[in-house]
Amino acid sequence: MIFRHRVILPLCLALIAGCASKAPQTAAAQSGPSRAVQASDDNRAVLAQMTPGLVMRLDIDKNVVQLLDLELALVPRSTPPRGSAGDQVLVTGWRGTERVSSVAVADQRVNVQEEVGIVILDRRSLHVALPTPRRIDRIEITLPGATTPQRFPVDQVFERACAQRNDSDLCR
Amino acid sequence: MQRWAVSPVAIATLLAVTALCACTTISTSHDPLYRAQAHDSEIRVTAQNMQVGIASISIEVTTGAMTDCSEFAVVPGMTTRSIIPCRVGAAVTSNMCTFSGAPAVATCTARVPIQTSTMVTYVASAVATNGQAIKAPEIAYSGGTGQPERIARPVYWHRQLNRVGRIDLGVFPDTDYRTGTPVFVDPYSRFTADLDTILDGAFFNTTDLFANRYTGDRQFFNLWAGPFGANAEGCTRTFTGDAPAVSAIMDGSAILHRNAFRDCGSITAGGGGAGSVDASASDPSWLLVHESGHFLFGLSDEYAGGGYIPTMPCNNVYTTQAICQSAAPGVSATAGQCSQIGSTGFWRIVTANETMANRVLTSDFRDDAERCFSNRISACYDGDCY
Repeated sequence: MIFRHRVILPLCLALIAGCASKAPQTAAAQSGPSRAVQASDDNRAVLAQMTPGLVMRLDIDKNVVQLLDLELALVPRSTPPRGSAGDQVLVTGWRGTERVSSVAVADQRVNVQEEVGIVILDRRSLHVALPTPRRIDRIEITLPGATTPQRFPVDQVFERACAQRNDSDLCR
Repeated sequence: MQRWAVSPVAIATLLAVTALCACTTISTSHDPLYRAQAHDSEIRVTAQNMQVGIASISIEVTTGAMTDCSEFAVVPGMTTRSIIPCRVGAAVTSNMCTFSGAPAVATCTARVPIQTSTMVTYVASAVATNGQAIKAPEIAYSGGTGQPERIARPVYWHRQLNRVGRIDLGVFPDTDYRTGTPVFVDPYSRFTADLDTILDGAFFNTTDLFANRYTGDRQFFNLWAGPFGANAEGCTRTFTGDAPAVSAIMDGSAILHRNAFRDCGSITAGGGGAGSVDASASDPSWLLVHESGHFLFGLSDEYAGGGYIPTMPCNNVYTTQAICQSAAPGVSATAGQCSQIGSTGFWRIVTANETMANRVLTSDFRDDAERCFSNRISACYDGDCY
């Protein structure tokens, strides 16, 4: 063991000492000329992750859901819910009998307030971005533990958006 | 002497490997993180190579107007606004620092003047004196006056990377920034000043232990500023106006407030949880880490008088001593480290100061809380955080 100390430690200290002699340097950058960037190239990665969707607010009072502030927007594509996040509210977009998309959002019913403890919110607001790559006619919302979803027609949102251009993919 | 029987070899090996390693590392940051006003921003890149030293650092900075993407016909024939921003009219500038004397640690800075609503991105790379090169992923942030209202404003955004592999944390100003601010002060500026301090203290802090997880793994976070419209009072949180749309695309939303009440967070493991953070406290960055422990990672409190939900998919509290003791070895703890939380009937593993228990800067996510955090980050690493 003493041999190891005599060999390794001095070697190590020598190496460290050598490195430590190099003082940190800071410099301000020298700028070169600027060149324009094509907007399509610049935004390609972002837009590739986006899809048309419905943004909405869900006001929940016990088991009753109100659907508010419904609006078409570009939203991130979502992945199927994995169920690893605790109680979740499932929001599904339907066109007739076809399920077009779904997203799960965390239910915020159970809260913890500092120095108070668990606070159950029967009334809470959740915010949802539901991808709708194609037109849907209704949304179904299923609360945790509920066996049947609550249904909301969303035809009017698409009617308004499609009033001028019904040849869009979203309007067919 | 017995103490030294093993440790010198381990220490020497570690130091020798570190010293001999030709590894080049790079870290990037910008300051301020976000300001919705005209200002000068500084991008700071630090590279390190302990053996051969750094020869040069380059920073490619791209700036352009931040928009809501409505100029892109993503849906042919329809004008569809995006919650995530786009950029138009961008120009890229290459900035270079060269170093003489092969410094082991070298820092290069680039100044970016920001006037009206701007998105800035930067890509940094460094070359060691032996030619070894390293490149950091692109970071985007925004700033300037007149930003579109209904978009998420990037503070620290991995723009080129898939969002599902990142935890998106949105920070919103409470309405009391408006009511509690003198008329000659822009209330949103007051919010962004707080946001800057709090996010810097949580995600860019190599000093305080409580911040080490978020700082060390910040490559798995996107940080955003939200518009006005949020309000928190106790556990009641409301989002109106432009705020709900931005909150809708976040994995978690934190409302910064300045009026006095006990902070509250949903016990949710992402996918839309929310909580409040008292920006007027002396330790708001710690509060953010603690509250987001609730709403991003589903963690319970671990102090007497807190709140405990032992039914989350990843737990840090237990309903019985036996369950706690059986869980302890799984997080490198012993059964003897299980302790009842006061007289609550709930149990926890106690190894050292814990962020869900101890309001001190030397706290950390430990044992089972650390496991819940690490599991989530591992999921991000695999490409899907939630």
